Amino acid sequence: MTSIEDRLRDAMAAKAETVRDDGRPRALPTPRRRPSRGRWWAPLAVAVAIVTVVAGIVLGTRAVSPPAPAVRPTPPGPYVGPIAPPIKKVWPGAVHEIPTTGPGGRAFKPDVFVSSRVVVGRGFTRNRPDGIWSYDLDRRAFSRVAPLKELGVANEPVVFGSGFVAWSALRDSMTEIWAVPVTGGVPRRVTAFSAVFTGDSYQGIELAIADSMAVWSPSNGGVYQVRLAGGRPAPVKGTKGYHLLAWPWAGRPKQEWMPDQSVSRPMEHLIDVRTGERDDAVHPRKEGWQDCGVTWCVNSREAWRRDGTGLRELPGNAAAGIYSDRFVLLHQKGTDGKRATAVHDIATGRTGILGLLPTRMGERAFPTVHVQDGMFWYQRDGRQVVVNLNGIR
Amino acid sequence: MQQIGGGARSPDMNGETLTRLSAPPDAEAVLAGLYREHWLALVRLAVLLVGDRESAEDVVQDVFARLHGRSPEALTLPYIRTCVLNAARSVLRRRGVALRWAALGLGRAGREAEDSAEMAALLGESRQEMLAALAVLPKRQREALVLRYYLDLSDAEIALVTRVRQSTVRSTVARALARLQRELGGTA
Repeated sequence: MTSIEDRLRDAMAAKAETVRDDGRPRALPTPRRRPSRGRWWAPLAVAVAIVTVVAGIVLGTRAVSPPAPAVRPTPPGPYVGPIAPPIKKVWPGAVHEIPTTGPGGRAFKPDVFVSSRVVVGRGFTRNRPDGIWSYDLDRRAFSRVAPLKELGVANEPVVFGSGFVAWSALRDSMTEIWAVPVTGGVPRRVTAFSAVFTGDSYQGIELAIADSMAVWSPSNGGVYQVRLAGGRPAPVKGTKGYHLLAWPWAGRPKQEWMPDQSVSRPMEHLIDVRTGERDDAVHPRKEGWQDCGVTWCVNSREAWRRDGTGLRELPGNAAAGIYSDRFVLLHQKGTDGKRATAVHDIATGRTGILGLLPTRMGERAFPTVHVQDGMFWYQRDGRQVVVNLNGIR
Repeated sequence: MQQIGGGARSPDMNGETLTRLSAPPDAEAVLAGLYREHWLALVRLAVLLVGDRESAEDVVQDVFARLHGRSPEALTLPYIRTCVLNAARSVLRRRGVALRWAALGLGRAGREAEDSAEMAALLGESRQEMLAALAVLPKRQREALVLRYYLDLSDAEIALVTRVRQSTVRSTVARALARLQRELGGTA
């Protein structure tokens, strides 16, 4: 056991295990306080519910409609079943090992594949980004794309499109967008606009490059664009309240991923920002969901198409949203109690596990999985394993 | 179709842990089930945050006492973990206030909970050293390390529990590890 992370993990596990289960049955603590508001609306709600159900039955039995396809009446329970094979066996062409450090010993964090063989990311010295680098999987060599001298560069992955790499930064209460050709050069400031803050907390933007334009949504919604050559931000008509999802699609409402703010139907309404075409998602059982992309929606145990068809059970518990429009991170638990973290392709139904980490508490999934559109990656023992989602066919 | 890069489209929760119970009608039964199933794990989480078992059990007890009346939809493990984190912060804040009073010579009520000699022997010197270094980290950094290296949560899951962006989680963990390394004198 050498690394500080291993020592830390071991020390915390040992400390936690000093709390042992004494086997006593545990009764739920009694309420600390009663809700202050009386439920005056309860009888009304019951009455409305009865009327609704009766009306539904009457209308449902009168209307003559073709039999609907069978849909499982309730979602399946937590997954216990077979553990998938290793990801390298399932998608050998999409899994790559790259160095954790670049030239000068700086940490290298991969951000985006600019081709099937070249990954671009940021170099960090003392936890500060100081340059954009590309790594060629065939030549096993780094090249510097650009230095990062500006302070306030957002700690978000850089994005790629139209031959350019772009990122955002905060300076003097303004959000700036910067870009540089992926072949290298001097970064240029594309545009700047007032930053959005919630209290003291800076809210970043969702940025992409499409059709030689920088396109983005601020945290309060709307889609904006500007040519990479530079200029003033222009709002895209009809996108107020929408958040960029995958160009040219923007959606609402945005999932906040906060326990007390989570929305029950994230990305229910999509709009093609170029044509104005709309697409509303539905659940086969008219329930809420965890995340919806342009093509698929997921709950913790199921996936289906946005139009409500193609409902399928997931071979694990979905740990996150949808990435690159069709991938989810799953947690699997085997019948022998073994646990693993897996990448699942909803479109093809294929699944591969990321790897297992032997610990003193048994094998566990790799903890530091970075998930984002385009790639999943994790570090272990001085290696960095990158799964190129866009390289999976 | 062009995908949007970035961690901006953040995500979510631990599948095995995100046992979002599918809208059963009886919230009390759901709550009781969660308490039975996760009591030990939550107390262990709390003990890493507040330092001693007694306070940790109080934290979990207090959280569940306040969760009555919530809809079953809201009762997810990530949410309850957030509650435990908040309750642990309250304990530490109260302790901090008590310690400041104690420093003014007004009482000894706020003495920081410490591990017993027996506990120290159980854990061993190396682990004690690591836990001592962990204890001096700022609260947020300590929480991030506990969630990542004890609960094995991903950035997305930590972001959900601590209510910050994924990128903030990454930088907090990196800074916390660097600080820990310094506290340990570069011996790790």
